[in-house]
Amino acid sequence: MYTLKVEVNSVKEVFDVLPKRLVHWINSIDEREIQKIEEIRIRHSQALELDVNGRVMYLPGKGSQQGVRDEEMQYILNQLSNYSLYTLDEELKRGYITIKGGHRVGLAGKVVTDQGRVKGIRAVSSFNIRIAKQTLGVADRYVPRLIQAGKWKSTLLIGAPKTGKTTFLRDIARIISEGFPSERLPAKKVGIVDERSEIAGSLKGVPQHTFGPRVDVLDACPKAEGMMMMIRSMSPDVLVVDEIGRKEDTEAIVEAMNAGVRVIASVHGDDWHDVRRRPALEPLWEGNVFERFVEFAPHSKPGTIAAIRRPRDVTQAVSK
Amino acid sequence: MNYDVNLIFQIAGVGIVVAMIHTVLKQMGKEEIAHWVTLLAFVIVLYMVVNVVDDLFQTIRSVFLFQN
Amino acid sequence: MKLLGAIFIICASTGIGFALARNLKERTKQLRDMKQAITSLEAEMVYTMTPLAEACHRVSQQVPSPVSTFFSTFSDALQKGESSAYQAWTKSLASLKAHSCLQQSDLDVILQFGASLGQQDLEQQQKQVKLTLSNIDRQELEASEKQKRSENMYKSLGFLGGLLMTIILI
Repeated sequence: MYTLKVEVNSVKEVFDVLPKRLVHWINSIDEREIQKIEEIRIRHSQALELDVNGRVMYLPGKGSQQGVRDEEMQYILNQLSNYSLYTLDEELKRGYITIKGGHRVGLAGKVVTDQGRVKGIRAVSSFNIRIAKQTLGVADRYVPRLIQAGKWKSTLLIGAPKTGKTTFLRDIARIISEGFPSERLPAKKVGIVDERSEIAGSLKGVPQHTFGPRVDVLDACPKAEGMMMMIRSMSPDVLVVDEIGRKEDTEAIVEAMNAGVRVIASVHGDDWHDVRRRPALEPLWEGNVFERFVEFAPHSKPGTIAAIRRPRDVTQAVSK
Repeated sequence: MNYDVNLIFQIAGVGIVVAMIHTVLKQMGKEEIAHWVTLLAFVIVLYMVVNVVDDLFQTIRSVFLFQN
Repeated sequence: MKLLGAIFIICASTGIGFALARNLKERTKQLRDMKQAITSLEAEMVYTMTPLAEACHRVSQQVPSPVSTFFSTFSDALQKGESSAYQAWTKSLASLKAHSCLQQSDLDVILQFGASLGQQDLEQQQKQVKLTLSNIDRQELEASEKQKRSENMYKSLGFLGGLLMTIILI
């Protein structure tokens, strides 16, 4: 039996950071549509833009003269930072802020540089609030194919952007740490190295997404170093990382394998062949590091899985 | 001379105290205020003796103009 | 009867003199407390990146009243949700004005600090702290000089004034 897919969407948490006038605007649309909001874009002296299930809406109405005021932009920034902009130095450098509920607020505006390197964003002119949606249970159906003899296999998730890799990764992390009774899998220790704060959506180090009890998160930590730190200090059974691609990442993954830790990682790419050509990932093939490859189908509904391959299939495909 | 000796003592007391205040203020570099205080004390003393002076003038008038 | 009244008057005016002298002393002390508070606030901001409300709450526990009251009021106002940190700062400063011996020029310095609080990045904030500290330093120097000069004067003036009044009234 597979558990039902549950969408956890808490758009209301975003309302805490918005000025009353904007909340009022959003509340004027249908309640069911509010639940389907994917993005809220706020631009200085422009109308509010909502992305509802792929459809664009303007509030208070298209062509309306009412825009977001200067003091409202300031208010949002104050609320995001708890009146303490200096605490967001790192976030302003990266260009986004994670807020309560794991939602991400992207920023654009005047960038200040120091000797050619971005120091941060000063005058913020646009906010893009991406509502975090955690779909519990997307990975449930595939669990039997990712394990063998009661053990998790190292898995590489391959997919183009927006195909649902991260959602899948998140769900896998949850399943591992909670255990999976129908396959008699006990709960395992999971270490998440979350360089972009996207898997766990941590706020002050505490994951905002629902994970099981046995998850440790290194938030905003460079992947390669983070993996080594995890192995040394937290002794995880499974490491979860997002968007590998640099040489150091692959080295760290090989290192983790040698330490007996399983790795579940995601990588950008259309399919296995595409990924195979990357020189930085070369060591992974030599050592047969990954034992399962999950390919996400592009151009279809996010989360659609095209194929789950094993190294055997893959080598055959290559030799053909 | 049936004038109150108290008045003389009072004036003397005011004089002493004001002199002290003047010194204190002057020491602290507030000479302006010190001068004003002295002036004020002078006016107050003048007010105190105004009756006596009035008496004096009355007496002089009665002596030289043979009035009364 | 007359003697009793005279004693009362002298006591009262001496008391006033001492109170004024104490005010001067308090001002220096409060400025020093404020300086200490801002220094620890800076430490909270720069080294531990604590959000303002929490940082000010912690600072308020480290310094004596009335500066501590000022910071705890500010922290409370932020937690309740003010439209901006500056507004909360101004409001708390108004209550500080009523309960402290600080003068308008001192309050102006503190107000100026509040204007940029929480609106800038770390580096700017640090510069602002440095500027404010040097400003307060100047105020403190002036206050302590004034205290040295005027403290004794107020005390003796209070006593002498009382004496003068009794002499005139007798």
